[in-house]
Amino acid sequence: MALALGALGTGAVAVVGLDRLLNDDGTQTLTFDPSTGELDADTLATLMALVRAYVGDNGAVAHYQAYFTWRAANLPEYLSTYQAFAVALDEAAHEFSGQSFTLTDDATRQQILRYGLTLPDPASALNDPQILPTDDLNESERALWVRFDRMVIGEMVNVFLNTNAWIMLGYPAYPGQARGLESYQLPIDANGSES
Amino acid sequence: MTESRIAIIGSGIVGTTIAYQLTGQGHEVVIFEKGPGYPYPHAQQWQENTVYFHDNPDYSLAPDLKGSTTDGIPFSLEGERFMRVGGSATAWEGISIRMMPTDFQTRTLFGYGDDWAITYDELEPYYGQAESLIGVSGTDDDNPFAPPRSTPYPMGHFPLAYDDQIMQVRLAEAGITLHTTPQARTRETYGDRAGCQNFGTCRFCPIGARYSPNYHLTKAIATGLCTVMTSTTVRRIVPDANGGGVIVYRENDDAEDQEHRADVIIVAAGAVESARLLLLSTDATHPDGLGNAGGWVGRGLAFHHVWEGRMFYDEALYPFRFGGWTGQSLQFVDAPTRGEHASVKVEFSSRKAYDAPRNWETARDPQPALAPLLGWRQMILQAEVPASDEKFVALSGELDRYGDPFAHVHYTFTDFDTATYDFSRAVFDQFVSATRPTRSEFAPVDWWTSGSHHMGTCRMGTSADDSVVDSFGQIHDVPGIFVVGGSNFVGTSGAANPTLTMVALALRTAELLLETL
Repeated sequence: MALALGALGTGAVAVVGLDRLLNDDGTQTLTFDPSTGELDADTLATLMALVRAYVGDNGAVAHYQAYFTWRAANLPEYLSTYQAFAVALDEAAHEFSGQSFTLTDDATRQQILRYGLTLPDPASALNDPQILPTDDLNESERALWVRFDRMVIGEMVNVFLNTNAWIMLGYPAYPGQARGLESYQLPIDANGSES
Repeated sequence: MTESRIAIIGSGIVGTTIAYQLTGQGHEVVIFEKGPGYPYPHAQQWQENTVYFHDNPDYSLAPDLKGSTTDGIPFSLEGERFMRVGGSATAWEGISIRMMPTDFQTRTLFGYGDDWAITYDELEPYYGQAESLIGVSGTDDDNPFAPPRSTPYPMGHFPLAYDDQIMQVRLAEAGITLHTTPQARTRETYGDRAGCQNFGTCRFCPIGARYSPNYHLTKAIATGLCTVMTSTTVRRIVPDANGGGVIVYRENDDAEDQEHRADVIIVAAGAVESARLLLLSTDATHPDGLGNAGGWVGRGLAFHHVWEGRMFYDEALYPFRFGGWTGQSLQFVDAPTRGEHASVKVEFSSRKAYDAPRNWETARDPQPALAPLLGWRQMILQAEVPASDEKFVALSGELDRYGDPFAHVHYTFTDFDTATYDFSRAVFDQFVSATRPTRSEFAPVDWWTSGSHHMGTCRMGTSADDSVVDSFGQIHDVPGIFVVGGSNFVGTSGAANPTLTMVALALRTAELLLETL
């Protein structure tokens, strides 16, 4: 994902965030291990920092941690993809602020995220391969973008739309939470309370 | 060859209902299930689907065993068939409505379709038993159009949602009744089933509040009298002149067929697969298939025709704060013009009727993209469909893993179906006029779904000349072999959701078996 950040943010050709994942000639050496397993703390912290930057004040985010942890532990290639994505995010953060992603301030994270969510085709589905924002990427860089887009960013947004987005709209809870059998009969006030 | 007194083909809500009744009275039952196991309670599935957004492929049947060909339907039939332990009712909506008395006599009363071989009065006690078995919460106090009942609902009703209440007032001003929905969802603790906590993700209820057939299947297995053979495909039934017959089956990954003899065989594999199995079961005595002496197997296929309308209101209605079903109207099922068109049921429930586009614009700035969710309401028009020669199941030219033809569904709309669409549209327009949305839209006639309601391929009647089975599901002139479920319906279940009627018929068949075994 981070590969697009620098390109979009600065208009520069340089690809930010992928240097450590690609050979000097830009080809991809990273193969994505299908193994499942436990997410390391650093990777998880980076992913959760991204989530907090995206979700903002719209509710709790613990379910994202469960989401990432479960997928890494149960579905092939997620563990290695998450790890690679965290590396790319860190590299992007260093480019912006000279610090790792988890140590950057909220404004920088938002800036990185904002660039990451800027694409030229708003009608494209999140889970579909995206049209890349620049032609300056080689084939390996594109492949990485698509992978990060589909397996991390797109899924994070999907979780958001099914959970925190309801809080953003004023609902006291979202489907999937035990909401009881009484309050749904009541109006919701401006504070998101059922009364 | 293995043997048992009773064998059931299909572990869905019909097969499990019969198995539970029979094992409870000490009878041993073997169930053949083509699909994989499906754990109960469905907490794991709930977690996978609603927390991790993962559709576990372990619960799906391989495409070379679960397939069909179709013409004339605008939806994926395979998307509506859940071949696994518990069947499609592991993920049903839970709406549990009785048919109207008139639905059993449409030929006599309205001049279309055919009469059933059973009346509402005959089935009524079994409706009550079915409601008790699966745990229906409801009331008729707010529904002047409800059919008569001799027993109360087992549990109180789920009240209307806040947005339903707003609509109810507006509709009442226009003379339209919006009432609550009876549903197989526990309003309170029911036996050893927990009361509903309104998770809202009811297709995968983590606590068993919404009824699943696996609830009673688990109890049947616990008796030690019920064996479920999962991932096992029944390929043929070879009837025995003395009753029952031999089931020819194959464990899905094996290379060889095996045989199982049973005195009583009950086919409960859904309308499409039940017909297919009978058509595949040919021998010298039944050259066109088992139960097909009169050529009725597969004929009379009927799907509900379900059209969706949507209305947008400027005010924030906050829909879908309850996961079950709230507002319905049976006001139009027996409309004065019935006969010029079929019966139509209205679902005007507090559902989520708007999905934000899942694109990057939404991702960047969710609020404006999501805000329409607050004002959209969905309206479902579910229409009765009488049997017609232009709707049937036959054998396909495409073959499954073992070389057996898949089912082929042929489906053509009739002028009567179109007239029913026109009536549905008129009902929708009444709702629009009464509730005053700022925008509305209604599906064109060919944008319909079936509601996953598949019926009528092995219809009940009085003889092989007019049907496949009698009103208990026993195949005419083939002793000891039954077909039970929605396949027995004569057309659709009126406009009512079919599951409760399927369970009622299954209970009636089980009672007959208990009397005769």
